[in-house]
Amino acid sequence: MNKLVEMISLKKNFGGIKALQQVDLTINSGEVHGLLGENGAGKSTLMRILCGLEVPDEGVIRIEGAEAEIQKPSDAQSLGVGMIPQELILVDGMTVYENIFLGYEIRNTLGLLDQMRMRSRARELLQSLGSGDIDPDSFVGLLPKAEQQIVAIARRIIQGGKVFVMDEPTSALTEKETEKLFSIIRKICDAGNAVVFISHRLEEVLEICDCFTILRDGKNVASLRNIPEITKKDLIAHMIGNDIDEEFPHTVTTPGDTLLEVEDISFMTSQGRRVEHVGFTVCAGEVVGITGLVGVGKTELAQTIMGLRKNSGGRILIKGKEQHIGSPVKAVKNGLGYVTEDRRGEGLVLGLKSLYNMTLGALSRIVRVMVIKLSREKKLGLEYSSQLNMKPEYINMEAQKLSGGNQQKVVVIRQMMGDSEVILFDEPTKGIDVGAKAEIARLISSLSSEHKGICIFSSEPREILGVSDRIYVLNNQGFVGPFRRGELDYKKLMAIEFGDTNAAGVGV
Amino acid sequence: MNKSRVKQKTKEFFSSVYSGPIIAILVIGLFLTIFSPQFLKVSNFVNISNQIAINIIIAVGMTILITSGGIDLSVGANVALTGVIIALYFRAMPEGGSPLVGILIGLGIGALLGLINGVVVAYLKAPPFITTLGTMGVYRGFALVLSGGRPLMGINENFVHIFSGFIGAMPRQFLIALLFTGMGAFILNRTSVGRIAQCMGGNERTLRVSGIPVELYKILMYMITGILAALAGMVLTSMMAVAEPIAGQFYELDAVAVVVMGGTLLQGGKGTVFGTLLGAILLGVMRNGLNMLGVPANYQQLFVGLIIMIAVISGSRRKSPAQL
Repeated sequence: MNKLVEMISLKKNFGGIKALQQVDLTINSGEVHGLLGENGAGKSTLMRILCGLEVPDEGVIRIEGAEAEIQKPSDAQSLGVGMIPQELILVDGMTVYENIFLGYEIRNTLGLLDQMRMRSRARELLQSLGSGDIDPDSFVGLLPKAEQQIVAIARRIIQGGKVFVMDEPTSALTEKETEKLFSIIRKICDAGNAVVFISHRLEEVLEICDCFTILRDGKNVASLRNIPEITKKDLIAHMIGNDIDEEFPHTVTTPGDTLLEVEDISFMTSQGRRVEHVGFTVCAGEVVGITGLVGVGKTELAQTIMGLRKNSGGRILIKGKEQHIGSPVKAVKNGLGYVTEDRRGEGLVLGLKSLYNMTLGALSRIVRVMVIKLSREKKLGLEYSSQLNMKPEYINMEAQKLSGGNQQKVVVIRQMMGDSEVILFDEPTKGIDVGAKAEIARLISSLSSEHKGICIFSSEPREILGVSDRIYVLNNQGFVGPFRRGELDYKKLMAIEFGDTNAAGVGV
Repeated sequence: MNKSRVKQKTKEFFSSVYSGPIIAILVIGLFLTIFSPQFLKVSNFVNISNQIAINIIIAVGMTILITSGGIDLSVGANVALTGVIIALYFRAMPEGGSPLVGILIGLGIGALLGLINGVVVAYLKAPPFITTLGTMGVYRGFALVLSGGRPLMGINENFVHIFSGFIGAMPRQFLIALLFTGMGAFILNRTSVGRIAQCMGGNERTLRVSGIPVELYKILMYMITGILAALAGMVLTSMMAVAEPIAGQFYELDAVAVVVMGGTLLQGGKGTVFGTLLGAILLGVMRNGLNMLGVPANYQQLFVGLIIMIAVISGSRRKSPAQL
């Protein structure tokens, strides 16, 4: 086994913050190397350095034994190192084979593009990746995300890639697509390449990786080989430093009045599928979990309730009174709050201070005759951020500079300040680290004990099972439930999600 | 102050958006002081402040609008139309009308013209650039039709005195411009409207999912811009004591140029009214200098264009969007 990449004693500071204090990483050919750590541990910085997006302050990088100067992404690329998937590298309006050969076109003797050969090479390559069903002539923009990812991988192979850095490659994939991606990863590595795999889904990490490097606070804390004895708990222990027994602490409170009733509503999913007859209730002091596989329409359901998507038929009742919610303005007036799944695209104004992002939904609390009371705003921000264990200096940083977990806290604080009675959380812990996940779960629990009605839309079964008092499942046949806390376990829940409604043996 | 503090302050100054225009003003100022004996005189500064007042008033509104992600190309036509309508009112009244009513009519026209732009952009979802390019033509057309294409005399004299003349050594219109610069800065940085403008330019969808009535605020931004342009129209009409239907041509371009020169991002999200003031001063000093050095008018246009380009390019290089 030869060493493809050696990173030795890397240091990197951003202003006063030590992102990497002294980190080593060795990647051998043929291995899937799991890079683990909480957000802010330095994973991304390390990989950005490897891919030429950042330059280290100190340290040496060797590629295949030779010292390498990686100053910009093209340096890394010519050495065979690159990020996958990087959505930006694909051109939606071009076909699959054109994308694969972009910049590396095959030409014939006349110097013209040899489309025939490129097409057949693309087909061969996709077949060798076990994805022969992707048509080289279809437009990339029309492919599902998972297939776009495969095209991006194929493109990197054509470019001579040897080390593939994959940052959360499965976050948008279904279970089946994930399996397929894993088999492709295996094929890439069997050919003598290496994959650096970064994911917060530890089950997957344990499944695919050959070895792990775990970072904490910009330092190496462990390098492990993946042996059967290693469990998720071990990994978590290394990542956060001390053992946590319960990922999702939850205190059950007695539900109060019914706050939100959704009766028989219908809507269209983003894929243009119609979902009908959805109905559920949320009471004060209760956490309702709505789950289902990725792409089944959970986000669209939340958007329909918030008035962001057309509700065709059915009624929505707030505190027993029917409300025609045609816009989010009306929804918020009725006491609904929404924590979107798309934190960066929808949840935050990235270039604005965190504090301003927090108070955005509660301007009336800090404004007198339109004038913002800055001291009051700051006090309010500090009050809530300390409640959520956020460092006080974060409130003055731009939202884009915070880690995923802290960004999510900012969005949640906005809802708390806004005094919503019912809060809809769409994938509240997506892409955030283990420590922050537990914190968000605790927070959700504490909100329910303050007699708020909480509704969680999530595709993470453990999260749903851990935090919900009642669970509804959206599958391709319809809307199933409710199930009370404890009625479902992981296996039953998965069976229902995959459409086997009878598996649970219980229901409604 | 010890050395490291000085260093720190210096670094802060150079990384701030104000450093570009301030340095440019100082360099050009120094150059003109050396090569033109007339430059460093009170009378010349009065002259410059006189010339830039109208641009400042328009650009303050434009700063707020551009920060919110919009743009308004109809402000120049707005200046002319407001002047024409006020002049028509004064001429129609037997006693020459009342200045106060004139002002109210002017502000009302500005608000209405902004409202039209805002409604088309917010509710009909038309792109701001094209929408206001269209209304620029419409508003200018109205100014020409209503005036019969001729300059209108007979502006109320008290009205003229409100917006022009001197207070001490300072031209009135420049003081008005400074007053509105202060107000604009306050609106953008200290009020909920300003905060929402920044958010709207940064990420409109965040406002939408947070249940804030984006459309209404968007319309408000265009109305603020319209009102300030109308105010500029009243100042111009007073300075000339005549309402010209062809007045205010290219004022929109000057306004957008100084907004961007001052460090406001053209794509929205971040804006500075103080920067805009500096941008307007820079443009004013430049034009003044070219005049005093005796550069022919045709070349002046060329130089001003080039310098605006340099300012905008250096600004956009420094503020290149963060890598995500």
